[in-house]
Amino acid sequence: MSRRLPRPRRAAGPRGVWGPLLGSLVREKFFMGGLIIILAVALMGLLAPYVAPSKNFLATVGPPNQPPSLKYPLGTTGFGQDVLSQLLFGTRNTLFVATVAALIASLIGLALGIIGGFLGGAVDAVFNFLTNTFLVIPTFTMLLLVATIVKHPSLQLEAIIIGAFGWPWGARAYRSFALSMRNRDYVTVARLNGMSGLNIALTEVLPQMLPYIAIMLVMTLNGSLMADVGLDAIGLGPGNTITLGLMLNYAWGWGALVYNWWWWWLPPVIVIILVATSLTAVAMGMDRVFNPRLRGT
Amino acid sequence: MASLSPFVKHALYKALYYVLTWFVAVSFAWFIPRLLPYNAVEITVASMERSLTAGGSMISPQEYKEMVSYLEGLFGANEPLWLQYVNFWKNLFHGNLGPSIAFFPATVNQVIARSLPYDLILIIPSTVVAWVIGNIIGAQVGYRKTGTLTDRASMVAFVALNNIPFFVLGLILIMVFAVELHWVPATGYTYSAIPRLSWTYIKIFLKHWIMPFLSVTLVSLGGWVLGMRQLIINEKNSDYMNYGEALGLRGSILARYAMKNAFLPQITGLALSLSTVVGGSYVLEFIFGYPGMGYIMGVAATENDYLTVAGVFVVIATVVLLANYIVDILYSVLDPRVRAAEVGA
Repeated sequence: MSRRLPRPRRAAGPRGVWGPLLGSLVREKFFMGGLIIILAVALMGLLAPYVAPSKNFLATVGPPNQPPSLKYPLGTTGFGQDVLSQLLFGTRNTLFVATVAALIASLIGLALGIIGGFLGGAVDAVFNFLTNTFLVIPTFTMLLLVATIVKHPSLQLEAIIIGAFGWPWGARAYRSFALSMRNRDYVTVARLNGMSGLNIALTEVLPQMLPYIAIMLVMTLNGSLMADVGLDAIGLGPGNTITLGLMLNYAWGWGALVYNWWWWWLPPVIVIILVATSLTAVAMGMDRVFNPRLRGT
Repeated sequence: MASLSPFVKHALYKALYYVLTWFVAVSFAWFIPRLLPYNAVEITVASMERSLTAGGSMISPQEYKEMVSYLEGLFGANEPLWLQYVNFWKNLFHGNLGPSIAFFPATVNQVIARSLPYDLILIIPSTVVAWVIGNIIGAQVGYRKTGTLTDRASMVAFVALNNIPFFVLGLILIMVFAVELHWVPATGYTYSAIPRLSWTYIKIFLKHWIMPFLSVTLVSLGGWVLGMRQLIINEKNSDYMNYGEALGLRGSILARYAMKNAFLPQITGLALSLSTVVGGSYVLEFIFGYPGMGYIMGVAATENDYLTVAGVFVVIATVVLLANYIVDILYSVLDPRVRAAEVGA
């Protein structure tokens, strides 16, 4: 009875698993294509302060409503601002808000999902109820309610607000994962071997979860992007700066659509579509690699 | 409870669950504006002052004081917080959502009653049409040989379509059909037309309605196609399909089996999609000037009118939860496995 089982040997070390996985990811066209586009757009935003023709993107630099020309590569707005500069800085700010919001939402979702899923009982019941409630109530309506009161938040505050409402899908996914993990044989074996709960969580469960976390993070990023663009387009975004949504709000509000000043609103629209589509493509690519069942379909 | 059938039991349990969810959601809508350090009366006074002075009229200190105390009484801002909360629920059960700031002196009830029909006539047809067509296309795409060039190309197209926000597609549609082709007007509604049941009004309404409708339908379509395609592929690889194939069942029969099973998750998806469609259409309605709740929300939000926003939230949360409940019950009627689980439980 006192004989202890031999410590389980890991079939494959971290390198043995991650190497081929990375290789499959690189070969996945949806993943790589999306990733390259996202990185290109992100680079565009990061370099905005260095490459933008007009560093002060709100300043009037020329006559209003000029179509694209050599002097103004994407034309000017109705206020004579440089559209290209606004696009670069707007991309930078929008990606910042979306990324920070997605990180906040993922942390909340991860915490609620994992704690609930592993602990079970009353804690899980409460967390799960909260998750399901936020899942069915119209989140964007709630977001509008907060944004209505917090008039023109800073970019940081906007990210926090969006993040605070973006977690339920992640929480649900992480919870169901934690639930299925809890009763896996290898977790039981590890527990019988006297490994501590934290140790099991970090060495046995977390590596299994990383792919799911990555996919959920990308999808949450997409959700945050949509929420940010929507809020800003309706006119509830931060003041005194520019985002892709604010560009649309101004363009629409000052008649760019009716007078067909397409260069004012089409560039942000293209960037939004590119980023959103690429994020989904990346998530789909990862899904195919991490879920072997989907492969060959 | 032994006398109740498992189905009724399940329906009652679900009803209780949704009522609790509704209670929590509505409470959130009440608490959040009050948790934040902003004063309703101050906001309203400031916003009314702005519109008054913009109208050229001056306001005396006496009038200002009167206005503040009147609004305080109206909002019940002088009462302790718990009493305000109790009063809120009392009013809610009497169907009273309180005063509106942006559309003062109209109440939130009146504002919503005017705009809700426009939402229903936009969101229900577009969601249903997208769901039906999307599932049909998705099943077709999924059942055919996958991985071909057409399959991949259509996938990319549907992924892109599904990820465009409604209003962004709306902008593109406005450019093409309104500005370039002049087929339809660029805004969703004309206030010169008086709503009545006449052919002229219906024609004007449809002209303004078609673009928002197309935007929601096309974007939603992409998601249903992708979802159904994957579900059908999963079914195609399952044991019962292989067995059926080995028995030599006809393709059409097999397709029907696969479709029936793949269909169920899409029904749940229909209910869940409602809340995202409602939220997503706000910006669209705002941009098109379509007079639904989204437009109201946009105006109210820019005017700091959180009472109207909260009121709209309560109505939308109620509608969405009700729809979810109905679909939940429908689901247990349609899926024998759920029924079996209920009997077991």
